[in-house]
Amino acid sequence: MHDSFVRTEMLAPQDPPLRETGAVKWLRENLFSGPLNTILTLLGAYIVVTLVLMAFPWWWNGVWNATSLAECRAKVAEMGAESGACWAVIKARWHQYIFGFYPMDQYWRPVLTAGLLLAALAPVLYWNDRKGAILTGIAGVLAVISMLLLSSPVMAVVVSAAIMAALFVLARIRPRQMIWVTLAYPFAALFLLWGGQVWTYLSAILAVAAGIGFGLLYGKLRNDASNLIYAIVTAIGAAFVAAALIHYLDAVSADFLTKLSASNSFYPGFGSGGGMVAKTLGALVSAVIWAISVAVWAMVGVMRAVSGVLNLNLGMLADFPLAGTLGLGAVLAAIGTFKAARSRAAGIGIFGGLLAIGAYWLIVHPWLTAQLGAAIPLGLPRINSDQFGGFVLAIVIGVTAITASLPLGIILALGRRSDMFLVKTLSVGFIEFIRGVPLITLLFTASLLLAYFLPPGTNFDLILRVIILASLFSAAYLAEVIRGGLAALPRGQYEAADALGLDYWQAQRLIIMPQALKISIPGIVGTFIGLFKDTTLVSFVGLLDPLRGVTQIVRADINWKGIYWEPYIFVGVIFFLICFGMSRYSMYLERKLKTDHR
Amino acid sequence: MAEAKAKLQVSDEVAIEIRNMNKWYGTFHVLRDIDMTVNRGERIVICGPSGSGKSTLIRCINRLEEHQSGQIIVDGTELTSDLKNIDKVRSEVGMVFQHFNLFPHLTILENCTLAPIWVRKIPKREAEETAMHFLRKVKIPEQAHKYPGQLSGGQQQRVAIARSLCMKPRIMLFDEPTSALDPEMIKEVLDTMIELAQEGMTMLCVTHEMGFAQAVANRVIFMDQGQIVEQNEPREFFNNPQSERTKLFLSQILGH
Repeated sequence: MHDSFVRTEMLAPQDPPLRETGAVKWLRENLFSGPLNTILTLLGAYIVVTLVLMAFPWWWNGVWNATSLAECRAKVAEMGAESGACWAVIKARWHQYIFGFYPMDQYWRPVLTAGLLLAALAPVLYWNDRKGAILTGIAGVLAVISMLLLSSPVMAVVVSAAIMAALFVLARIRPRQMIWVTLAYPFAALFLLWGGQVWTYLSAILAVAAGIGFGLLYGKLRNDASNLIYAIVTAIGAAFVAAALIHYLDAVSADFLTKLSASNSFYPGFGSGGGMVAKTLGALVSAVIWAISVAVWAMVGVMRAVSGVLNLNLGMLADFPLAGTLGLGAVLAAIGTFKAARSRAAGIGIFGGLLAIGAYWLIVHPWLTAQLGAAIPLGLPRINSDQFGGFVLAIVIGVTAITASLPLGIILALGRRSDMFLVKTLSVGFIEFIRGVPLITLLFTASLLLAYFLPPGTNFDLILRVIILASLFSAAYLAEVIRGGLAALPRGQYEAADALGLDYWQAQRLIIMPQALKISIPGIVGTFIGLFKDTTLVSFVGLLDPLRGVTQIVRADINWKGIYWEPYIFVGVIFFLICFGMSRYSMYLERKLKTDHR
Repeated sequence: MAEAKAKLQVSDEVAIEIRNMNKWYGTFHVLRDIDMTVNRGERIVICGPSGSGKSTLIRCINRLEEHQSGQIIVDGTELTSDLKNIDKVRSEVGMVFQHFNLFPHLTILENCTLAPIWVRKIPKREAEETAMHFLRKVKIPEQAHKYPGQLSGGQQQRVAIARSLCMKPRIMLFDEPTSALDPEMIKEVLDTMIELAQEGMTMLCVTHEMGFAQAVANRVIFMDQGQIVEQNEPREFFNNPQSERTKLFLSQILGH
């Protein structure tokens, strides 16, 4: 039997009981919630205390002033201690860990580059203009203080201080304009780090501006006739670039084949000393090399045949470059004009822009820089790539590769999800190949094998090659991370974007990517951190990374022979600070972008 | 309500024409020989058991699904694989989804102004004014600066309707707009839709809300197994269904 019940007044909320709050509750829940956990807590505490007691004397008795490891040890013994760290090595050699063999009187250049880096990152990292300005200000002050501590030339310090102050003022009063600083930064950084004539870099900026301008011009054309003219100009330009490219390919393939044939003498060298296994291995390697060279020959042959046929003159088969140029140029011109007549495809604008950059680079750039350099020589002493080292090298490679790999990763992720068979296959192939190969292999490829594919006599900077390979490597991983983010989006988001009439790129840029990238932030930052730490692997191709490269050099010094922990701890701490900073930033970003209120 | 409905005029102008349209998912024949004509100003309710192809049908009208044979002509533009035509049709046809599909990373106002700014190339200020106008119309202007996640289901669906209206569409498609809502919220969405119907919008609505069909529809289409089984004006349809299949369906949904 039920009594009927009607509540006449609603209950007010009350405070929880006391034992459910405060430190007592925390301790009980986290450390002593049961007999097993109590035992584990005590055991853990014991282990921690023991470890600290063991390591403490070594840290506590550290020696900061000494000129050699032997002196360090003597001082430790003098204090009557059993062990002590020898931090004197850091004090003596810290500059090599930071700058490698960069000339000492030029240290202000990497420092200013780092200061500018923070200023250039400010508008990218923060929406909040005030935070951006604060970061710029801090970067300026730190840069100037570091320069003073490094006793840099007065002129350099004054100019740097002026630049940083100007940027700070700009960030305060016109924060929107800071994005131009970001865009100009790569050129400024290249100039500051490698030096040379300032005109080279200004001309490079001009080249990019010309390319973008020429590309955008296409969007401004309003009638069919001007579209057609644009397309024809672009097509003729393409034919010229194709000519250059084919000449280059021809030279490369010939050289490559010679080298491959030469390398086939590898087999006897491998097999002569060894037994059956070595001989078999040698034969296999030899077979692979032969297979590659046959494939390359076949490819060249097909290219020759195709170019000959396209030119409708089979007798020209022998004269590959000319036939190829004419054939390819004709095809490109046809495609270009056809496209222009049919639709206002943005592709022609992009193509035109790239060609404008190419044309500028080939024709205007050498002339302009020569003229200006002769008239007003203005520049910084040139620093070679082999003088780079330490954290300057790690950060140059890390930051550049991170910046390059994100857009590449996005494109690869989109490519992998594309409906177009060829795009999809190429993306999948690229990603799987890069992910299947260890980074060190790719770095070796960068340092050794790329030379085979370059025309004889070209000198391609090793740091640049490493940066390219590191970017490709992390782009492949990023692509998979971003693909995960894309897969996590409900199909409804794509449908809503479609139903509103947004085209593919608008939908990607405005709807899909902002959400997919937000989901993937932890993975993306994880990949970035991995990439930054992987920069230490460049020591395998002879670059001076801070961990192994510089440490080896320091330990080769008779004074510091046998030193072990201290340099690694020093380098490890710096790596930790940078990676921890990235990780904290990603958490800030996730909080900032949290709009789903789940 | 009946009074309001009587005033609604249906013009002779054809808004959507579908001829002999067929669609397959792989080997499964989802839509079979669909023939229908929708005049401007018509309010059509499409109903039928689940899996009957009704959602697929209206999703074909703005090419979210591709049909394999036959013709679909929307506002004089035939839907083919030509992207230009598809974009043109999509900017004329608004669509409201079962699960709202608002963009969670944008505020309500940004949700409403995004397409007008990027597709119609309308200045931001003007797009915002239009958006506020339609948000007032669906009675949630005060939520404009919140994010979709902060709104109730009914409010989100009204935002979705406002978002579509901001593109000034000539035809609106509703794909089960109230199926994912709590009973308390269904009414607020239906009220918005009724208001829209009274303004003469051409509407195609997949729904099981038979009250809505009786109140505003001038035609009810019943589909089963990918075919149009029966269509009639609502009173006849509900009171005097002809086919056995329709009778069974109606007895199941109106039986309680």
